[in-house]
Amino acid sequence: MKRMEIDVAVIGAGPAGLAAALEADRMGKSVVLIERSDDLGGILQQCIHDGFGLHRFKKQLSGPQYAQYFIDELNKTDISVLLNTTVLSIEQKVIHAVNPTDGVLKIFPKAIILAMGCRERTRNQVLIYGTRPSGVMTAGAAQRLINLEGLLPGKRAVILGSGDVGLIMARRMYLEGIDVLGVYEIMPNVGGLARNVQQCLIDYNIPLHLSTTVVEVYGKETLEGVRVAKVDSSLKPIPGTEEDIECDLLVLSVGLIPENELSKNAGIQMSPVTLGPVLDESMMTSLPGIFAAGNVAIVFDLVDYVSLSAESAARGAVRYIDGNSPKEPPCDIKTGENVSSLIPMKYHIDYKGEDLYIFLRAREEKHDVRLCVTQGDNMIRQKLLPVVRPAEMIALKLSRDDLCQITGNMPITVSIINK
Amino acid sequence: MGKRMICISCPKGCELILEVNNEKLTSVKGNDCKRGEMFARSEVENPTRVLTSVVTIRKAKSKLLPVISAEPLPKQKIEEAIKEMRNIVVDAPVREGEIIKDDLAGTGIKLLAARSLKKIG
Ligand SMILES: Cc1cc2nc3c(=O)[nH]c(=O)nc-3n(C[C@H](O)[C@H](O)[C@H](O)COP(=O)(O)OP(=O)(O)OC[C@H]3O[C@@H](n4cnc5c(N)ncnc54)[C@H](O)[C@@H]3O)c2cc1C
Ligand code: SF4
Repeated sequence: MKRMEIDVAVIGAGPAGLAAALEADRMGKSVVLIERSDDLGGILQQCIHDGFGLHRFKKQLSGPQYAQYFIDELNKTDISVLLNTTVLSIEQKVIHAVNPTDGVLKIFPKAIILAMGCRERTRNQVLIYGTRPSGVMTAGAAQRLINLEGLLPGKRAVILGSGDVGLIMARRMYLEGIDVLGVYEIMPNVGGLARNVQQCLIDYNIPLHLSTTVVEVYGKETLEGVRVAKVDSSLKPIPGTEEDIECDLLVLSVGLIPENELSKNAGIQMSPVTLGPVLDESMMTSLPGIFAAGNVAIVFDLVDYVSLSAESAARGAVRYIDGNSPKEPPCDIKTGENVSSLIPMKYHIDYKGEDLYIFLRAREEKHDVRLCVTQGDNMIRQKLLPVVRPAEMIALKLSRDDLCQITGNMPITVSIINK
Repeated sequence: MGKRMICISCPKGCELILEVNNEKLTSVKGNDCKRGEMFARSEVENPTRVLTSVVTIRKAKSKLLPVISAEPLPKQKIEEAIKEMRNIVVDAPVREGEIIKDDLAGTGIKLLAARSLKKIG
C-alpha cells in the first residue's frame, strides 16, 4: 500500500479545490490535490455558458475559462495532483483513496480541505407517479451528455423546475435543435436568476409555467409523455387542470445538495439548514484540522464566492498547522429575520485572520432592506440593499474593525429587516 | 404601453419598463444603474448576446472543445453561428484564447477556445 505524508490534502479539484490548493501552496505548505475524475475543474468543465468570474476577473467568462485560469496557476506549482483517484473514507484524519495505478493509498495530512462540490436532487426527491422509463434525467446529466459527450438525449423536452441549471439547459437544448416545450415550476416564483429567465427562455420563446408541476410520467421503456397540472397554494395538483404533453425527455432541475457522504461517515457534525458541515469562521468543521470549501459547505450560486470560501479555508488550514487556531470557546452565528441559511455558524473572538465573509440567503424577496449583524443590542455591521432574493446568495464582508466589536460568547444574529 | 424586460447586464436583474417609438428607445424606468439604460437601448436597437458552444476536437482526451465568441453577437445571427460551428473540427493541442474561427456568421467576430487541451497519443 502506498503511503503519503503531506501538510494539506484537498479532496476534489473543482474551483473550490483548485483555489484552496493554490492558496495553501502560496503560504508555503506541501499540498496534494485528489480528484476522482480524469480532469481538473470539476463541474465547470461542463458549464460552457458565460457568466462566471464577474467579481474576480471583472469579465464574463465561461466555466472552462474560469477553471483554466486556476489550472494554469496550478501548473506553475509543485502541488501533487492525483487524478482518477477517489477518496473512500476519512478515519482519524487519515485519507483512504483508490486509483488504478497505486491501488489503495493512505494519506496522512496535517490538515484536510473537503471540496467535493454538490450533487443534484433526483426523481427520488420529488414526487412523480407513473412508470420508470429512460429519458428522465437531471439537468446536470443532460448538460454532461450534450457538452462533454456530444450526445443529444432527446428530441422533445420538458423541463421540471426553474433552477439556473435548468434554465441554462433550456437554451442549450434549443440551440442544439431539441424542441423545448416548456419549463414547469411548482412554486409561484422562478427558482433561478431573473437574467437567466430573460436570456435563456424569453430570448427563444420558451414558455415558463409557474405553479404547475409534472404529476405523472408514462412510457414503457422510453419516455412517451408527461402529465402536468396546476397546483394550489398548498402545492397540491388542482383536479381538472391536467394536460398531457408528448415528449421523450424530462429534465429535472429541482435543486442541488452538498455532497457530504464522506463528511458524515467521518463523523463531522452536519447542519440541517445548509446540509453541509457546521463551520467556524475559518471554515473548520467540528473535527479539528478538517475544513470545507465551496459547494460542499453550502450551495453557492456564484463561482467567485466558491473561490473566496476556498482561500479562506486554506488560510484556516495553514493557521491550524502552524498552531495559530483559536483557543477560546466560539459564539454561535444565528439566522435571524428573513435569513434562511448562512455560513459560518460559529465565530471565535481570538480568530487571527483578516476580514471575514458571511455568506447568506434571504428567505423571501424584499425590496429596500437593511442587512444587520448584531450581538445582543450591539450593531456590528449593517448594510442597505436595494433587493434580496432567495435565488441570490449575499456575501457580507466584515472588516477587522467590525470583528473587534464582537465580545464574549453571546450569539451573533444576522437578519434582513425593513429599511 | 411600456414593454417589460429584465436587464441581464449584472446578476441583480432589474425589471425595466421601456417606451419604444419607431424601433427607437424613448424612455426606461426600473434600472438601478446606467448600464440598464444602455442594455435597454441595445435590446431595442441592436440586441446582442455572447455565444458559447462546443466544437469537435481530435487528438485530445475529450471529444469536444468548449468555445466562446470574442464579443457579443447580434441576436439574429446566433442560430446561423451555431450551425457554422457544427462543421468545425480542430486538432489538439489548443490554448485557451486561441482563435478557432475568424469570422462568425459574417459578423467579423472571432470564435475562441474556452479551454486548453493537450495533444495525446
Ligand atoms: C449540474 C450543475 C451545474 C451548475 N451550473 C452552474 C453555473 O452555471 N454557474 C455557477 O456559478 N454555478 C453552477 N453550479 C454550481 C457549481 O457547482 C459551482 O459554481 C462550482 O462549480 C462549485 O465548485 P466546487 O469546487 O465546490 O464543486 P465542483 O465543481 O462540483 O467540484 C467538486 C469536485 O470534487 C470531486 N469529488 C467529489 N467527491 C470526490 C471523492 N470522494 N474523491 C475525489 N474527488 C471527489 C468531483 O469529481 C469534482 O471534480 C452548477 C452545479 C451543478 C451540479
Ligand atoms: S440596471 Fe444596473 S443594477 Fe440593474 S440589472 Fe442592469 S446593470 Fe444591474
